[in-house]
Amino acid sequence: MSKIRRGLTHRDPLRDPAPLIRRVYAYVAYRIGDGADAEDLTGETFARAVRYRESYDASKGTPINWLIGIARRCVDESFSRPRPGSDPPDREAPGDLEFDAVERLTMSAAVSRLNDRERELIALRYGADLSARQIAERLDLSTTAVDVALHRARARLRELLKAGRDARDKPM
Amino acid sequence: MSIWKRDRDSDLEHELRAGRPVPRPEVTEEIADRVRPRSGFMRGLDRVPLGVAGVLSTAVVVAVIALGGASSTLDAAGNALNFQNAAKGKKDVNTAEFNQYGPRVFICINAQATVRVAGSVADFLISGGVATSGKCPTPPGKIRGDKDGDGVLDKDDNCKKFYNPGQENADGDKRGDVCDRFENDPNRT
Repeated sequence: MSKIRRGLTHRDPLRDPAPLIRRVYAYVAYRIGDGADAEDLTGETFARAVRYRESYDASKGTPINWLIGIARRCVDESFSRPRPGSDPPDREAPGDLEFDAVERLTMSAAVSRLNDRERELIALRYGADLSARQIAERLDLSTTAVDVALHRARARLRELLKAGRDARDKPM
Repeated sequence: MSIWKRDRDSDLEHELRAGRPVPRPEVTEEIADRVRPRSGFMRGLDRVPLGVAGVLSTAVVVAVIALGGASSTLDAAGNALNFQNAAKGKKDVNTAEFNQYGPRVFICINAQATVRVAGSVADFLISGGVATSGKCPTPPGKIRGDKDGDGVLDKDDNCKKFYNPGQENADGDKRGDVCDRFENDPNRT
């Protein structure tokens, strides 16, 4: 009976895919960098999600939580695959971009210089937009530990951004 | 934005959120297309409202499917009109599947394609074909020793009740990813 009741309230986890695609992409891009590789991995994540959509269990988490689990595995697998000259991100030269875009590039570059753990946390929190509690469940940590680690990651990011800015502003 | 502003934590958080990488629109659309059911008819079958089954009996009946050994009629939107009769039907092959595996109900189309229900008794994902009356083939799950019908016998299956023909297991423990809550932690399942 409970199964029938669950069935009545069940929703397809991929019912409204566009916002999920954006969040998964942002997560992947913060992990591996913005560009074609991130798009490929996002596509791969959703291909797997389609294959296993029947196994989605709403009682275990939200659709984005489920998708991020799949995305993490895709990213981890991509790290273990040999990468024969991956494409550079599809971006113009920094000098041609608007100021905001330069800022974003600098942010991307700074995120890419964080260590794996910090990148993962930043990607989960600000890319996938998961709460500290959801991240804690996923990484099997306490919420406090996640908050502290995120605080450290942001501090490191600020240092990197500041160093980048100082280097740019230095007179030739 | 000045570097001084970035020194404040909340501003950095705001920048990380506002400046998060976005996929190209055509990529988003391409992925979304692959995710969506294939056609209007298939999308209609995405949700079968059990509670209102029978209410839509004036709708145009476009198809009859065989489910649980009983016939169910579908209207143009894909709603099953007498689905409840099928679901509580006799203890035949398909009803047994439903009772045993909950969300996994097998229905058949043209007696050729076995169709898995996506997620629950109320959510259908039809893989193809036009629904007509017919006799259901034996569902894969009825193969002796393979409860979930994924082609891997229970004794070797790392998720006996979940369809996972690839047997993916990221952390290498005894449970496959689809039924492992801690799929990256080999010490917990």
